[in-house]
Amino acid sequence: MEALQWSNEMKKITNIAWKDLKNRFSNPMEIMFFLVLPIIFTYLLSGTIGSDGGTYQLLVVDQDQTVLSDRLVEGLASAGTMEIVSISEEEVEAAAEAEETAAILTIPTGFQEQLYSGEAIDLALEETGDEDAYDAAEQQVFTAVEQMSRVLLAANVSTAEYEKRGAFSDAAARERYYEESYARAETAFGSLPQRVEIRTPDEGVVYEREKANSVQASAGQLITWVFIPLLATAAVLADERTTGTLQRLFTTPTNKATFLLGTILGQLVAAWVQMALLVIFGIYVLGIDWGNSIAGLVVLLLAFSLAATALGTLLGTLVRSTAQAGGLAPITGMVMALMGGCWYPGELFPDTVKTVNQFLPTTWALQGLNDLGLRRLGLVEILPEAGVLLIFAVVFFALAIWRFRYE
Amino acid sequence: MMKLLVIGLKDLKVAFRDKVGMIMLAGPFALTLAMGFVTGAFSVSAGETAIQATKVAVVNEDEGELGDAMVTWLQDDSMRSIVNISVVSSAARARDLVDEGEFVAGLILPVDFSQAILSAEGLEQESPIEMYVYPGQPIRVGIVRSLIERFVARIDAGVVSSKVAVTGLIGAGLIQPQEANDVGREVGEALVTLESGAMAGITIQSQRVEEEEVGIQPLALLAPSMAMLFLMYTVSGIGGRSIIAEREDGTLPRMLATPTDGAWILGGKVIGVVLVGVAQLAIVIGVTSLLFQLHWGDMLGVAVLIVAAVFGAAGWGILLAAFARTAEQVSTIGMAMMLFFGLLGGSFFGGGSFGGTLGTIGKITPNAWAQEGFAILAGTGTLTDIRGTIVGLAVMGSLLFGVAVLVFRRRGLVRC
Repeated sequence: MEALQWSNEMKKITNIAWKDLKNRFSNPMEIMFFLVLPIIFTYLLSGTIGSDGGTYQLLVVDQDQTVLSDRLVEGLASAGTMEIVSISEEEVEAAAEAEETAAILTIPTGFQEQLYSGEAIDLALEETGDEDAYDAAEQQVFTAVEQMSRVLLAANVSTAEYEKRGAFSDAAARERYYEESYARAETAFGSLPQRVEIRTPDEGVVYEREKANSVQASAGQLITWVFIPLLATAAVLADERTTGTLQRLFTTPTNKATFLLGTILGQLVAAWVQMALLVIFGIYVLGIDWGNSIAGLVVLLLAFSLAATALGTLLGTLVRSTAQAGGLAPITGMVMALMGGCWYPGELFPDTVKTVNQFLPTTWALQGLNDLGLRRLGLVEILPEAGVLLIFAVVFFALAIWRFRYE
Repeated sequence: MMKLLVIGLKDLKVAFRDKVGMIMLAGPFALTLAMGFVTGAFSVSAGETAIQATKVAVVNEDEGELGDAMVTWLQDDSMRSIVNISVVSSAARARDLVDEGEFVAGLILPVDFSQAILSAEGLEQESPIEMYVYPGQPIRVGIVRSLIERFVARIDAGVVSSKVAVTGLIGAGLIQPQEANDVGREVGEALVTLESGAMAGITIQSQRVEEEEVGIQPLALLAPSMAMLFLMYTVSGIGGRSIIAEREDGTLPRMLATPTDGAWILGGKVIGVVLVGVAQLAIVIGVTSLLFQLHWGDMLGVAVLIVAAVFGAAGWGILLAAFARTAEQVSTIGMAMMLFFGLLGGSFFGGGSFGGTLGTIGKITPNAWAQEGFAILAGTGTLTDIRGTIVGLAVMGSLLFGVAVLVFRRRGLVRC
């Protein structure tokens, strides 16, 4: 008898969940928020599409045309991702107008002569348009110049030390000595050992800046795009209440718990499918590394989805209309995602804000995903984050049940 | 003309009576406040950085002089805004502080750090500084790493230079091998004391497009971004929706039954959307000025920019209404448009943009144009300085209205 009753209740729960899912996806545009926009945002913000440097050109006008100026042009090419294009002075005006030009570097006549004699020299770097592209070009030039400067310094010092102790027979002898010193310095700098070694708390985990950026950005987007629809559980509840379907439902032998479980299950199933698709897209299309603990990832995302649904359910008991819920859910979701570090690097938040953010489920979810993807921790290690998320879920659900009204 | 205004004012009243309409006011405030908190923008003045110094625990186990020199350099007054150094007693303690989340990095200078760099074998001998970090803080880790590498690079430059000089002198027979150490030390010490600028030899003269350097309050960039984000929601989700709703509710056919041309009705609806948008931006600007003492700049420029921004954004809203079949479609696509334009136009990055091709594509959004205009005005710009922005937004609005009218006509929704 009890088994039959249990089976009936389960059927009601799944029917309510299925009805909500059908309602939600009856609008084809829902797929836009479910998958299309999350994928676009993750793709654009995860840093996997390459830097701006790749699409721009750094133009070089070499007025000096010497061995040293050639070396600088070669150095520029290996100092960054921006393409280096040599142009003549006559081509400058037209090239400056081209959209792909980031900046124009002029190597003046006398470049080699002045540097070989130990004198300083200025290189002109002209901005032509896009500010960000110029910054990237400037960075590339700085790197190349810095590398050349230290070699020049060594060659200059070497030549000067010679001259302190003796005189060169002629200018050619000096230039030869300078060249030999330059070559020795270049070799020496090229074979310097590693001076800084970055270690992380976790054995075998190699720190990679690009990976840290892409995992954090992808995790932030996943949390945002799953969190907001789950908060919109509030709208589902408000809709049932305001349209009177809730009262009608309770004229049938359906109790409050069955209704709530059915509504929550519908939202959770959608969230699980969405999270699975976003994780798979991240792995196979963007090359995001979510770590090596599938169990950890599943437990963390389950705990997060429960906390978010519970908060959505609580919101649903606080609002008076579907419209209010529809407005409140995105704003609450966006603010919590932002404060939780999903949009803007949490590492830069002021200390006070970091403390306050411990009260947000988004903070813990992001922390857990970082631990899985960046520190490659396992299920046991992320249990504290999952535990806190479950505590959020219990507290929000308890408050929601306490606040729940039929009308 | 009166009919246009009557329809427009009616829509303005409806928008502000609707509780959903409160989103368009609450949204920008909530997100601006959140942005202000997380970026620390409330605690800094114009032109200052809001980022707190990175906390680093340093253990100096080096038995030579370089370790002390590095610690002294890191503790220099000029570094205070970048790094906050605490010297701790052991490597284990430094790692614990990082594990506990108190510090971003632990720097452990090895016992033979100086010896490895300065000895005869220094160019090949490995004894790296250990930088112990939590991997989830790539920006701060990058800052500390670049500082350390800068310091070490200067030492290396000195060491390499002295070795190259000594090798050359020995090869030329100007010194004896037994003098190598003394000469090398002499050359190296002279170089280490040189300023980094003097080491360079080559200076880059940046010739940037002339822009006046002005201090802008960080919130003056964040608030317009959030205002533009929600303006897109208002004009598309709410404004566009009202046009469809008139048709769905049957009030449009009733209006068309009166001696009023369809074009005038559409014009009235457009004015309604523009009035709602202008009211929204004006309230956001007014309240942020009062509450946060935010300086938006030249008021005439701000007023004209508000109208132009709303006109450009309303163009998208009306175009959406022209294509959509139901009010629900307008709401959903309007929300998607708000988010997508927010991303492309840089509203999520406080007015910054992707740059490159994506930055160019972002120019289809009123967000990108208007945020640029508000940033210019928040500096020392005036109406004259944002002429291009105003024209851009006006052209955008006109083109979109033109296309919308054509679509409305083709679908028989207006006769003009």
